[in-house]
Amino acid sequence: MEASRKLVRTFGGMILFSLECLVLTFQNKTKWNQVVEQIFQVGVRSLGMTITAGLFVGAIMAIQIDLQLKDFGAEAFLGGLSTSATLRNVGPVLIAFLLSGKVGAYTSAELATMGVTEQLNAIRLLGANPIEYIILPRIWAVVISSFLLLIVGLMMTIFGGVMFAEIIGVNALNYIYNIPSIVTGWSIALSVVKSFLFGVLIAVVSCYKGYYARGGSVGVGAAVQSCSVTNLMLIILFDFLLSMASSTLQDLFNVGYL
Amino acid sequence: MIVIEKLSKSFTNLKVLNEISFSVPSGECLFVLGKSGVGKSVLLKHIVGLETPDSGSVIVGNKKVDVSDIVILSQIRKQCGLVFQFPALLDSVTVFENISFGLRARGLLKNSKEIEIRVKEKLSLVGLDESIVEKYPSQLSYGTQKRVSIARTLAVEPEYLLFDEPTTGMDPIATTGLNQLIKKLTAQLKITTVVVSHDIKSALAVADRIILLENGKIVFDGTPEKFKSTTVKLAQEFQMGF
Ligand SMILES: Nc1ncnc2c1ncn2[C@@H]1O[C@H](COP(=O)(O)OP(=O)(O)O)[C@@H](O)[C@H]1O
Ligand SMILES: [Mg+2]
Repeated sequence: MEASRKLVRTFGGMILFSLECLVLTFQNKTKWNQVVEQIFQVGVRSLGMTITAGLFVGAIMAIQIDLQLKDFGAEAFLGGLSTSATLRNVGPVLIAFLLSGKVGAYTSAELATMGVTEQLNAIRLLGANPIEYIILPRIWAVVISSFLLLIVGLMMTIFGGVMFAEIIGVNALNYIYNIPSIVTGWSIALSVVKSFLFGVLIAVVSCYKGYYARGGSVGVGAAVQSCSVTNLMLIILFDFLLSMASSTLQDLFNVGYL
Repeated sequence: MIVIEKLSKSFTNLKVLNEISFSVPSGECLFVLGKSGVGKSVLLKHIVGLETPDSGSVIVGNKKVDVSDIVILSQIRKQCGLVFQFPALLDSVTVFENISFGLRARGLLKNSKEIEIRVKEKLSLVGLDESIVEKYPSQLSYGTQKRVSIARTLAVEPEYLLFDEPTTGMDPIATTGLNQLIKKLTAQLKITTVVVSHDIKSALAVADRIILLENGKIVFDGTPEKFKSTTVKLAQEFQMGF
């Protein structure tokens, strides 16, 4: 009972928090030069990691799908099937996990520290709104950089798959030619939608958890922990919901399943 | 004038403030003394609406502090400058940007030349050299950060100055400098000052009046002279300690 009340309070709080940020954004309160600065702070520094991870995720998926296709002598479909599975599900989820660790933890720890050292209170007393001054630039920077990093990471998964195919003797060109015959625009749209939504999730959860941290360095630790767990759970949950929604819609419009 | 009336505040099972009442007339320098954890910081935060009372009220000037009334609250915060116990400097921006933050957020000074003059003026007031303006807080010692934090509060030139343990962690020379500054501000500019502290030496040197807190209650309220001769046990302990 207590736990479910806490859950409702957290989600209610996050929705109100997002709405406040949206309202301030529509009131043109975002300092976009600070957003750009923050994108460099949190986004650009994660580029190398995302590229590496993307390559490996693509390769891992190619290994796995190849194992399954071999038995049926269907390795010609490797490119399409492994790319589809990666783009639709595994890629966005795994890369979002990584980003929630890197970008999310950084942001929540930074904000929580600002809170417990009274920096946010100091801003309030000096006549500014910390949501406008501190949160808005960070939330947009995290949304934008997570989204872009996810797209870059997903493109790298395709390269990873191609590279691995070449290693195991599936002709890289065949692998690539097979991709468009299986991967539909729908799959690409789904992976873009997921990337955007995961970016929003990471941004809202991390900023919310950091902003409301209380109680010294213990509070910072608790906030970052809670931020990680909430991010991971919500990414999984929304991946499930979006995949369900997508297959229902694909049924409805009869556009095939891959 | 600050009026605190029957202010009570508890955290979970801990009653920190228990129906505290006192008032600070304009131009007075009041020291609120008490041991660590007695609720000095909590008391100060009520004056600027960073804590909400369980019961009782706080009046600043002629306005009642009410966190649900954003307009009144922001007017009160405009009049009050609070120097936090810890420096609370924004660590992502420079000393200059920290000190000028309130000036810009409030739109008090528009001209960048004026802002620069104001920043340098307040820096020298707290005994700091203007060469540190481009440094980041993490590059400064704790005592210097604290002085920058005081300069930041002074920059917006508030009518009420609230200090939370201003001299804790400062060297003796800086402490003397700060005490003289507080004295000067109250005497010349008729600023109303509330200092919460356990620094009895500074209190005796600077205060017009001393209040002593213990277990959520006021156990002494009077001039420094009276404080020296009172029979209140905690007041005597405080003086023996120094
Ligand atoms: N936000 C809070 N939540 C719970 N307890 C608090 C909070 N703020 C202060 N306290 C507790 O209230 C008491 C008084 O705190 P404080 O005013 O900081 O003491 P001090 O006199 O040293 O400044 C302490 O026991 C502290 O732990
Ligand atoms: Mg304190």
